[in-house]
Amino acid sequence: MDIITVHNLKKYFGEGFCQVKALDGINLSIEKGKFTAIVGASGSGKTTLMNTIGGLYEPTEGEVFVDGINLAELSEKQLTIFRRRKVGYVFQDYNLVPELTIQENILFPLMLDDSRPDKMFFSEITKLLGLSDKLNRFPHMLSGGGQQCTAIARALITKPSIILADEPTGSFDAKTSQNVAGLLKIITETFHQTLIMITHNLELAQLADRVIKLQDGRIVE
Amino acid sequence: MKKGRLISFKIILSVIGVLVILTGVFWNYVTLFSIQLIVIASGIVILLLTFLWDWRQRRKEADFANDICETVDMLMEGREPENYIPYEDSQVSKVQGKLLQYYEHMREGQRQSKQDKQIIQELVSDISHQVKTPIANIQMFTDILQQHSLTDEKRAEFLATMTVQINKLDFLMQSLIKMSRLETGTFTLHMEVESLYNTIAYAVNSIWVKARQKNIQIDVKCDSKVMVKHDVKWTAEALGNILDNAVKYTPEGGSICVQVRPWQFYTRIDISDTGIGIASEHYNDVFKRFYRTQKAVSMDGVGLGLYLARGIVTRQNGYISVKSEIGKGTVFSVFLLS
Repeated sequence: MDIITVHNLKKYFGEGFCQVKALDGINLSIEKGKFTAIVGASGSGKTTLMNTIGGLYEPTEGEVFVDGINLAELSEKQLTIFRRRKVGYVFQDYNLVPELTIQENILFPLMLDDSRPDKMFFSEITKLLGLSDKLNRFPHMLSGGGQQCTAIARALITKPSIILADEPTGSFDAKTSQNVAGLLKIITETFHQTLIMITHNLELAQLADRVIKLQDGRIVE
Repeated sequence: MKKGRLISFKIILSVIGVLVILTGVFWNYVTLFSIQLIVIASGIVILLLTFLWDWRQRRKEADFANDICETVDMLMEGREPENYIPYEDSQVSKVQGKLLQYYEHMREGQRQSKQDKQIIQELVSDISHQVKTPIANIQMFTDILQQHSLTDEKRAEFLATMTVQINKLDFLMQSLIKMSRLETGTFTLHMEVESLYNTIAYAVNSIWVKARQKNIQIDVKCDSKVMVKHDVKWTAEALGNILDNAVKYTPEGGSICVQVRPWQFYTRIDISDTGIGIASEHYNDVFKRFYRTQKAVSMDGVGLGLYLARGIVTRQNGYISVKSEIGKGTVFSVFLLS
């Protein structure tokens, strides 16, 4: 069953002579619970595609359906809640709050939604991600891999159906990349989530159930 | 609408508050009777407001419960809930969202069990197919042995052929038992921090003779100090299966290398061979149950080794990836949590 369906998606930036066609007619469906890797050169439209699926960008043309709901029909406020409850983001540069401890960083999205944390789930993911003994530390006290694991835990804590990871291992060496990507794969499999990961690394893409290759804003699978 | 009411509530209470404060400030100028009136009126208004507030609170709770019940009813009937406004900033929508997520999980479970049923059917037909040939062979040789008078030499030769077939059946049986234990989750993993070197030694031991027969050189690059939390017996089985595969598909005089690299989160075990290789479109297939490539059909085996290996590694929160070049060789990488 498909969780995401994209019809003739186009996203242009700028106007007239300076117009950039970031996405130029993308048709795509992504199956629920699967791991999809998006690969392609810089500027091929990977991040734009991911951000449009995640409701961060409004398409110039075309439609994005997530769980049967057309994102274009949601108001700005509904989109905010969609992003908060349905999607978990993992970025290349972690985006952790330096003043908060690891535990506070992980629980941050729940605070925004005024929700109570599921203690069992919290301890389960922190254990899986090797963070159990580092909860009271601050982000700068952890290695890059550790910080990214915190970001992964933060993305998971709201139990979203979709995890969007934009080059989560972009700044790591080959070893740490495999480590972090492997953990992401295992953890999303464990909790039946749909994982979409952008990567440059073809070896990492091999972990995925499906690889989508983008070129000049089009799919060349 | 509800917000408007709340504001009017606030205004009424504020007006009363201001009145009481003003009465206090101008205490000396206000007659006792007006004070009495203000106090009584304020009391009555506050009382009324309290009742109203209580009534509205109950209404809200009832509405909430009704909305949720309606959603559950519709889900039970397998219909999409009509009163669900996705991603609305309300408590009802929040709970409805979670209920739908739960419902989807259940449906997924149902789909899975349907699929499992189909897999079992396929499995039964696969097994009968696998069993057919050895049994037919055994039957044939038994008939010959019973009905014909043969020389001792011939008899021994036929018995040896039968033993091969019986071993084949035994191997299939053992693999099936392991598979069934893996699938039903009845095997318990004894995860202990143990030397990976020893585990690899067990695995290599299991294929040593076969490799020597084919004159295949086995090279192990593993620091004896590498300690990983794993189940020794089952991990050795998984690695043994991958190695067995490597021996099978590597031509005589080839080589196999096992290399261990401890990483931050994972320990990577690369098993590379100089065998026939796997086409990239079959990378995923080789881990499927009973899957055998065109080239492999002529070889011994049932197509369960890699399937079991993957299952065992996954159960330990690890994973396996494969990289290969046709005609040059294959590298299976096993990642175990450090």
